[in-house]
Order: sequence, then structure tokens, then C-alpha cells
Amino acid sequence: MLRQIRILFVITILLSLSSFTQANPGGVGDGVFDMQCGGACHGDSSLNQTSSATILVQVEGTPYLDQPIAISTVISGSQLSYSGDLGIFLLTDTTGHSDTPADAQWDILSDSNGGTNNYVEGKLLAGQDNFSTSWTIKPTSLTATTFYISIHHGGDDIPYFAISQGLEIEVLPIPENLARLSSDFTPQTTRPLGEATTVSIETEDVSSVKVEWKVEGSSINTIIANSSSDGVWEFTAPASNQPSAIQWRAILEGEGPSQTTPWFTLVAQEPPFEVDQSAVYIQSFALFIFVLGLVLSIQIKFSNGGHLEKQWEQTEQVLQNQLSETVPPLPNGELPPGWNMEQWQWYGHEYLQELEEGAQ
Amino acid sequence: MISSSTFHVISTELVVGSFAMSGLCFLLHALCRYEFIKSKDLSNITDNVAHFALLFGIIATPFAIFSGISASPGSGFSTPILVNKMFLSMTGLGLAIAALISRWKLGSSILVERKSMLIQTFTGMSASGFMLLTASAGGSFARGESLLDIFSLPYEMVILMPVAISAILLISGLASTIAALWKILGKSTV
Repeated sequence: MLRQIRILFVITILLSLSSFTQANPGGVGDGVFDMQCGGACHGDSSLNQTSSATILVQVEGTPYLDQPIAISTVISGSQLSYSGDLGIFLLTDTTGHSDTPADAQWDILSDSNGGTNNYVEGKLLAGQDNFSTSWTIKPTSLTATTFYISIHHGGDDIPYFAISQGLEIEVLPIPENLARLSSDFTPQTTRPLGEATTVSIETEDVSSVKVEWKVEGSSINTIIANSSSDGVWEFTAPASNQPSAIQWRAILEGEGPSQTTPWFTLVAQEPPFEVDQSAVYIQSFALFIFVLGLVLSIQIKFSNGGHLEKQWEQTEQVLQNQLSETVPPLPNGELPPGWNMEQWQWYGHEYLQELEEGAQ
Repeated sequence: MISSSTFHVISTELVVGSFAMSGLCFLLHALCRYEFIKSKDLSNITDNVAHFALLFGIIATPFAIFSGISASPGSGFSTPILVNKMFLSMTGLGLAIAALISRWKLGSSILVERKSMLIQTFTGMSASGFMLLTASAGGSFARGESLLDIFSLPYEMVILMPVAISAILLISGLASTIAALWKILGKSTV
């Protein structure tokens, strides 16, 4: 029995593990991943086939130290429409590991989904033949880095993979008096629905800030940002009642050269559902074990099983049997006058014998 | 190699099919016991089928749960529906195992006594109900619609207890389960 349970346990573990290591055609969600994850998360890397999709990569802005630039990509190709789901990586080499922008000392300030991830997922809508996305990144050291865009998508039950040509970016030192964003400026990437949002911009060597913002597919709006304190400027983004994204950029002017920032993305979305996973697992197991114990306890109480007797406890039955074997039968079903049961048990047979002899 | 989502579909179909058959057999058995259906053969058959289908469903349930977690987009419980699915399926699993242990260790006597028969039927049918609700939640999650949508079930609402309360529930459940199993095994006729 123990051996059978052990075998069943091993088979269960093996089957469970296999389900965790399969491809995820529905995607894994945005995140910070190495390219190696493209093999592990989207299909067996040994089964990947080369996608025929075309990947165009562009850089917007001048790559000064600690100043943001944007890398945008447009992916197109008929193979993309098989499943519509697309996973896109921003990478800094093609070794498959330690290849995120952070590994090359670049910070991701925003991605087009409202996060700060090098891997984003998108879906090609019906009728679309290309997909665009972008990242706003900034260098934290004077270095030269080659960026790649890698994509993963499904089709014909086969995972497809492609990677762009490298795009080398050399970081430049900041010119004197350059009107610029503060080195610790981090743009707001998300906001709640239905609320106008005040966006703060921290700057250095800036005397005025003009902000351009747009919703995808519409014209550009221009507003003048107000100075709220020394080097800090604010503008108000209009409320959005539907999940959507606006893009904005700032035109910074000062005594030195002026500068236009890359487009930043501000996504209006419902607050993401967050739950303590360990609490969910504990409650699930508690519910499981509680109903198990409850039902078993009730069944024991009400079932006939509560009166089950232990088969090894036979003392009373044996005594009764012995008694019935040793006690002589009562004449006419009752004790003779003057006898008690104990006397009858021991001397009854003599009485019966005398009775028989008297009758003869 | 198959994907987690395909494996989840396979395992959930096994679970739902098994539990649906089990629930139906529990119902038919109860009808036989109350002589709405007068057939001793059917009574015996439904008893056997209900419990064997339950056993098969129990075996398939862990695969359905873990492949479902693996197949869900994002990491883990990204929506309230997935949390509710976890609660419903684990409760259903607990009921199903309780029904099976009762029938296995206490024998057919639990189907003879009126009260215990009612409890057994209720437990088996509840297990089926919880699993069907889980499947319905899965339909709402994957396709945005389900047959049970007519009841407007609040899948978007999660009742998550504090960990301390869950721990108390867990400990009391463990204690009552161990006590019950001790009693059942102690009453073995061996």
C-alpha cells in the first residue's frame, strides 16, 4: 500500500511539474526578463522557429548622461496575425542572459503599457498588420550600448522568434547649461480613471517649460507648465473615463541649449487587482480541510458506524456461550423450588439424573 | 509537449464530467432511497457510479488547479475570478474527499440510515455543485460568459479572511479531520 502511494505521489509531482514548464501561449504578463525567458516562457527554445516579421527600431532624442531617450519599434508581418498575441523584449545583447537594459546600466523610465519593464505584451487587433511600442530609457553611465528588439509569437502550434539588428547608442556627457530634466526625475506612468492628474517635472537649468500631449490618433495639444517651486514644473493632464494612454513631452528652455524630451506615456487604468497570494493559499487549504473534517465528524455522529463493535472484544459472548454450554436445561423452563441459579449451574445435572432414575 | 492552457482544458473537462456524473448519481440514489424511483438495481448502480466518478474527479482536480494557475495570464491571481475559483475548487475537493472516505470506511451503512444517507447525498451533490461553479467561473474568465450568468453570481467579489482567521479554521479543520479519521480507523472491523 505504501509503495503504491509513493508511486502515485511521484507521478503526481512529475505531472504537476510538467504543467509548470510548458509554453504559455496566453503570455506571462509584462516583466523584466532576459531573452532566455523567451525560450522558456513562450515555448521550448529548441522548438522555436524564426519569425518572418519585420522589426524596425528608432531612437528619439540625444543620449546625454542621465537624460531620457525613447526607443520605439514597429513590428509587422503576416505571421503575427496567427494568434495576435505578441511578446516584445528590449535587450542589450543576444547572449540570452544578463541582457536587460539594467544590466547595461540603463534605467527604464516607462514602457507603453504604463510599466517600467523591458518585456511587454501586446495584441494585434483584427485588421491590423503592425504593432508599435516604445520605451523611455536613460543611461546612468557614460557607455556605448547596442540595443536589440526581440519578439515572440505563436502560430501553427509553433512558437516563433525574431530579433532585430543591433542599434548602437553612445552616451554623451551633458553640455554646459543644457536645459534638462533632473537626473532623479522619474515620470509618472499610471493614474486612476476619472481624475485629472497633475504631473510634476523636475528640471535643471530651465527657465520655461512647454508641454505637448496627445492621445493616440489625435492632434498634439500644447500647454505651458507652471513653476511650483525651484526647478519643479507642473501641468494638468485631463481626466480619462476609459482605460487609455496619453503621451506627453516637455520642451525645456533655459540659458543654455534647449532640449525636447522624448514622449512619456501616462496610462489611465483601473487599479490592478492585488491580493496576498499566501493568504489565498492558506484560506483555500483551510476551507478544504475544514469541510473535510466537518463532514467526517457529522457522518460519524449520525451513521451506524458509531455503534460498530470491535470484533476482538468477545468476552461477553464467550461467557454467555460457556454459560449456555455448562448450565443444565431447566425442568419445565423454571428452577425447581428452593434452588437458585448458581446451585443449578453446578448441581442441576445431579437433580436431573435423580429425576430420571426416579421416573424409571 | 502541450501548453498549460491545453492541459488545463483537458483536466477541467475530466473534472467537470466526473463531478457532473457523480452529482447526478447521488441525486438518483436519493430518489431511489425515497422510493420515487423503485429500482434496487438502480440504487446499487448509482451508489457505485457516484463514488467511483467522485474518485476520478478527485484525482483529476489537482491537475486542473495547478495547470490553471500556470496557464493564467500574468503571475498567479491576477483577477478576483481566479481567487474565487481557487476557493470553490478547494471546498469542492474537501467535500468530495469527505464523501468518499465516509463511504469507503463507514461502509454501505451510511446509505441505509436516513440521516447519514441525507448527509452523504448532500455532501456529494455539494461537491459537484462547487466544481460546476468553478467551471462556470472559468467560463466567465476565459470567454466572458457562462451558463450560470443568469444568476449574476458575484465572481468579482473576493471574501479574503485575515490570515489569523484562516489559520484558526485550518487548525480546527486539521484537528477535527484527525479526530474523525482516528475514530474511523479505530473502528475498523479488522
